[in-house]
Amino acid sequence: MGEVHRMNDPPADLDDQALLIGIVAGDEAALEEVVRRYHARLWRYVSRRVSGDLALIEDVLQEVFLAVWHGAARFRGEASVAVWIFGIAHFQTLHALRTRQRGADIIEFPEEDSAFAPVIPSAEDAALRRIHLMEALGRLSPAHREVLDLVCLHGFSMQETGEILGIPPGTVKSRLSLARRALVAALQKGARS
Amino acid sequence: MKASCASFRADLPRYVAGTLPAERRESVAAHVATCEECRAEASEWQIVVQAVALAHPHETPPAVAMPDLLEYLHQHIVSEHQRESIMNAANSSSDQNGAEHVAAGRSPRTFPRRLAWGAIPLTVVVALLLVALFLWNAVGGRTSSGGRTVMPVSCHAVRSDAVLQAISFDTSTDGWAGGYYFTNANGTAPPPTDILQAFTPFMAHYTGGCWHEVTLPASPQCGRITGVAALAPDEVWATCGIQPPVGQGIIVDGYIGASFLHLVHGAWQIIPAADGGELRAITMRTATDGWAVGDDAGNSTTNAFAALVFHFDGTVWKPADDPAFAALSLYAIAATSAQDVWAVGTDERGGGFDGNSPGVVLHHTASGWQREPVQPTGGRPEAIAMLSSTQGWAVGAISGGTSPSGGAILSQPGKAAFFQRNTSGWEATQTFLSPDGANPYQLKDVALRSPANGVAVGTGGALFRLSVTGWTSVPSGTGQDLYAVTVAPDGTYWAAGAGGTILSFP
Repeated sequence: MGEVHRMNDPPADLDDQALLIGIVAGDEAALEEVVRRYHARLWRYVSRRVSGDLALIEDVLQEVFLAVWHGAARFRGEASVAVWIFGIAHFQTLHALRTRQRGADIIEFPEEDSAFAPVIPSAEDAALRRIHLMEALGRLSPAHREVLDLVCLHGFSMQETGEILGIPPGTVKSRLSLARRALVAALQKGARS
Repeated sequence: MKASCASFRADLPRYVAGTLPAERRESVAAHVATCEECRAEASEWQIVVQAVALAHPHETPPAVAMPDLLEYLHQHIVSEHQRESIMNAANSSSDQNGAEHVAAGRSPRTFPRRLAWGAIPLTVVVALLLVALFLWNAVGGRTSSGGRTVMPVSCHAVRSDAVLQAISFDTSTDGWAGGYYFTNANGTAPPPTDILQAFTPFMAHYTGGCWHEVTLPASPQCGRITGVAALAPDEVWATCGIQPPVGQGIIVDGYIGASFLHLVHGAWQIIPAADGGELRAITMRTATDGWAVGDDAGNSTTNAFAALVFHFDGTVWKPADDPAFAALSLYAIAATSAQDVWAVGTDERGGGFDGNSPGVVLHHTASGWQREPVQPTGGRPEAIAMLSSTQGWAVGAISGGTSPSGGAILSQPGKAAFFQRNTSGWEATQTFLSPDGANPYQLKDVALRSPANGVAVGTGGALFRLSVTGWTSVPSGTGQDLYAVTVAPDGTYWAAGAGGTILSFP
């Protein structure tokens, strides 16, 4: 009794969880604070998924925060609030993309044996390192780009990234590894050409 | 690639991107400095991180985006509220879930939501759920905690007559549980008299497989283990007492004294702390910052109580003194920082343990100890867990009355209670009657992983889980009294109690 009670979550997440408790109690101000904390990060995340389509980004974020408002009671504290919200954003984005495609061309994320989409002949100014990198990144599959973003931009661990995307951490690891090798290989190829 | 590289490689992307948590950054940097292969891989990650950062430079949301979003959400919530008000008028279903929300500790719902269920009478839903729960338990015999299995430890050497009162983990595979068992010189169970000779302290150790009893030094200064704080596999602190647990129905006439038990470098040492009284709880925030609390068992002449409070500075346990300790008996302590320490107990000004002693919470800050009242009258917190200076719970009971008079006077609390801090003190925001509605129901300990994930345990196998919606009773699979719960570094909860009971659950 009264022994050490350790925290597994950083202080920021404890504050986030307190906000979810407020949301469950019907406190709209708590929802506003969640929006203020996550809006810019989620905008950046969703923007990359939908190629900067402003209307679609706004639609997705509306759905994400409505889902937070309605679903806060289902948050069980097993992952951080950030992981939970990004997981919602991931699936809302997929749903929005599928709706936009009207079912004719459903977005399917390829598995890790194909880090690259079909290779497009490189541009004539291949000597430029930056352009090569952009090209290489652009040729990565959406699934590989998304894993890279979550880890390298948003700072999620492999475990957390797996929870957001609903895939095993091992898959996250292999996608990261393939993406890294593909980008480095593309850069080396550009340097030789 | 060295085997030890594997754990570092997983962190290289975030290390290079500068998003790795600070506590991990140093060790990765040290490894990269000495490992050529990881250094090469880190160089590759620099290329990747650069590419990702350059990929979409124009990703700042327009200035109007967030105000527009907030307005949209507000309008949505208002219209939702209006719709539900209309539905509420049509369906005047009552809301009952077995828990009583007391007073103003829980803020009112500004916008009642999700009342589409209002089309179905709530009592019917509750009845169906109860039937389903009964069938689940009857058929499978399994117990669950919030949908998860509660696993009694089956491969342990903990004797079944042990009463475990404290449990603590320093790593996910190194835990300690302490308590006592009744014995006498012949090793047989004694009658519940002559208590001073009847206690034997008991400690069990978990190293990842099973729990095993460990041998403790024989000493009249340690009758039972009351608190445990594990710092490392080879360093454990415990508090010792000699009297039975409060509320156990046994009172002794004399006291030997309070002491500490210290395991260091494989050897147990007894460290006397006070001539009289008892220590009941210990917390070690670090190896050089610990607290232990109890009470002095009352002045032999005046019967006036005072709290025993000790602080450890890395070298010695020093008794603390403060006017706020007067008349108090303390049961539990928690610390979130050197200047944010919490203790709970009762004010025994009336003579001690009469069931009507007001509950109190003590808060230690840079300006000293402050006493915070507990509401309602009769509320008695017995344990506390704090995540920060503002986030945490105290648990205990709300008295249902006093016991029969004559001789020893026993605590006879009524309802299990969860206390939260507000602007004027601590208030019971949720209370629960015992499952049969007749027996006293007490909570004995609480542990928190986060503001929305916690566990509380108590008498009769009481087990409660915290979610964003508050505390909910869940089956524990045991009817034994549970006295202690903690959360291991991997997030696993461990609970311990009478009958040598040890439970673990995610």
